[in-house]
Amino acid sequence: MNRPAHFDSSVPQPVEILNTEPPPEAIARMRLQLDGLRSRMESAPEPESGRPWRTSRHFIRWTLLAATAVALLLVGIFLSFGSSTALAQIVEAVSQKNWLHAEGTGPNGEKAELWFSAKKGIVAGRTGDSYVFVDQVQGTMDLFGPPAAPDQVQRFSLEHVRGEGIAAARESFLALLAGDLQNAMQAGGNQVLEHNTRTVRMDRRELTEHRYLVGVRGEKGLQTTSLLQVDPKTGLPVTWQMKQGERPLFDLRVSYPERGPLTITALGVPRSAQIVSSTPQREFKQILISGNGARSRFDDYQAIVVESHRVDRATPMDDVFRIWRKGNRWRVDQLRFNSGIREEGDSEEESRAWWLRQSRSMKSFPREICDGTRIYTFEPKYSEPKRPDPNDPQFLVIDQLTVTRSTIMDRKQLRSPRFMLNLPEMYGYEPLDRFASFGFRAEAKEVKYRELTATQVRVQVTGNAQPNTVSPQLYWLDHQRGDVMVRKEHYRTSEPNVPFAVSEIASAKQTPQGLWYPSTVRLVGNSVSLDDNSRSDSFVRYYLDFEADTPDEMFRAESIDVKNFWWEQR
Amino acid sequence: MKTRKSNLNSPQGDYERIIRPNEERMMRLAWRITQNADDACDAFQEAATQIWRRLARIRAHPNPQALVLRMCANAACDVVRRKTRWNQRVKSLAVTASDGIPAGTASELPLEQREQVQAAVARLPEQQATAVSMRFLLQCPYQEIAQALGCAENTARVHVNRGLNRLRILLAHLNPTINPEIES
Repeated sequence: MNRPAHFDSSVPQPVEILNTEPPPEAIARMRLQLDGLRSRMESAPEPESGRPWRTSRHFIRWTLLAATAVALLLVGIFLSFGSSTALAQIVEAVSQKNWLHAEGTGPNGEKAELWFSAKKGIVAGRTGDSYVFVDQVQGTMDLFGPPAAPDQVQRFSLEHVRGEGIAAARESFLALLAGDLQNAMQAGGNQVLEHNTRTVRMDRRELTEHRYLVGVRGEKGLQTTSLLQVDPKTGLPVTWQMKQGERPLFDLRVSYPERGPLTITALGVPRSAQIVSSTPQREFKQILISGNGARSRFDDYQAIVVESHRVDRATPMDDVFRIWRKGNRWRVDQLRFNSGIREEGDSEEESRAWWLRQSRSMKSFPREICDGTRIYTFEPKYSEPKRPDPNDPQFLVIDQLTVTRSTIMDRKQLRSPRFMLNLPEMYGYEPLDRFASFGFRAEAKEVKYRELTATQVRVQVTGNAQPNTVSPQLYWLDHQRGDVMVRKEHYRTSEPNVPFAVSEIASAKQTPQGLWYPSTVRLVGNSVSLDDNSRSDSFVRYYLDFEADTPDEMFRAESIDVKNFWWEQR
Repeated sequence: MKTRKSNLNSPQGDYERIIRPNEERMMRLAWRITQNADDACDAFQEAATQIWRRLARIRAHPNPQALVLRMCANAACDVVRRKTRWNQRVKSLAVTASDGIPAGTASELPLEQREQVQAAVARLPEQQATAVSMRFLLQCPYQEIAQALGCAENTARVHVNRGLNRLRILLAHLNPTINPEIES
């Protein structure tokens, strides 16, 4: 038996050397994190007490139908697994996948599909011509389809959407995200009333078939039967049928692709559809959430980024970067563009193909690597005295790289310390709260920007601003294109009426998952002629390849040899 | 206008009930174990994530505040452990670190000594590290330490005492007057 030992508590213990008080800076940063925790804890759903949103009766009915369709699918996923530990593992297996895609027929034999990603906080569905897109990160639900106007996407705040189905699904979804499986399975008053399993053979495969009766006890109209066939090796469902009584609801085949839709347009809604928002006046906090979500959920890609003085030409004097992005990791390499002067053709697609092909024969060295937890910055150290590289006379000899590293404070708010302009998702969705530690005030308002209805955000540093402090900053966000930033103006405190840096998106594209990003950015008047001091624009062009797969070794910064650092595509 | 009612039994009341009264102690504990603003924030972020993920378990705990402190201590010790391992690894890399003491570090302390105490605390078994940290960095009563660890009060005392003895052995070279004799 353990016996309490004795020690003299009056003697200073060695550990007491650590008894210092945290400095105000550390307290301020930790307080920010506490604020984040509080808002997450407070975002848990509470019973609706306010007045329900009002719109046309038909629309409510349609919305509820559409929402219930998605909710039924969700409830099927999350609730039907019962309390069995083995079945809870299936939930775990599904939530580990990037995307779940179920495709087949819906209640009236029309085409139906469901997309779900626990990692990205998306659940979206389509039955016939009706689309529902729920974004848990932004807290919005988009609806498209008859009887609403054919060219409109109706956007609602999740808090304002009535309907037991979606409320239950949301609750279970949040609980699942929180890792609280028990709560996820009990949410919404639904419960597993019956559950049995058997082994079946399909396509020469042996599968475990689960049959559940899910619903509210004593309410036959609210009970559904699900048949879920699960691959016992992976624990993942492969087919899924749902019935309400004898009426078939869904007959779906399930797959697990790497990519899925991050916007309702990527689900199949026409790009021309106008977003009509019924969400309350957008607050700055929501804009931050939207930008953070886009940056962190951006598609994996490899890219060539060219900074040049003319939009149709590149020379060896220009900066060319090779970029890899995979999940929450990225790597930026500086490329030695030694192919002489490149005159771009008329087609952007042709230019993209040329750059991606040509870059394979060029070597590069790392400038920044983010491995998901830390960011490593590499600076070239040129030989002294500086001399041209015998192999590439346009460039100087680099002796070695020097490395500095920093820890990512908040892994949900990815930002590059050096290459915000070069990473398209960082330029398009720049974090607007990076002055939080200095104190800042932000205002957002709806304005007209050219042909667009944009949200203009003005960020003003309120702390101890020096004459050179960058304040105010103005950003124009395109509401129709997922809040991508279409224009930025930066001012200095000393000259609040004359912007010292202006840039705008000249052309934009969509990723396969549907996020908008700049394909050309114009830096307005940022080049100064040495002859007559006149100013001219320069351009950044982004050529992205979403098909290429990037090996994980590319992000291992520790493996970079600072004396033997050149990288060439093999 | 819709107003949010304050209800300590609702999910929204969790923060007020569990975290709010504990904020100062959580921040102090993360700082005192890590002694560096960056590391303290890293640890704090990790602890916040764990708290959010395990909210249901924390709610059901007899002393949620003590459990939250334990999570903070564990996260901070993890950060120190990782940093110690990393420091050993980067010696082989040509890394140009900024000279002197990094910004936000408790510069009034002798760097070597402080780092060695931190590393020693992080080397303790988890329960001893938590017990020693809560006892000597936050002056928590044994009853609270016991609740955080889920053990009897006497067992908590044993964890503290064993942790201290082990620390004395690990740190004997810092102060030759400390007698590294095991007392129990």
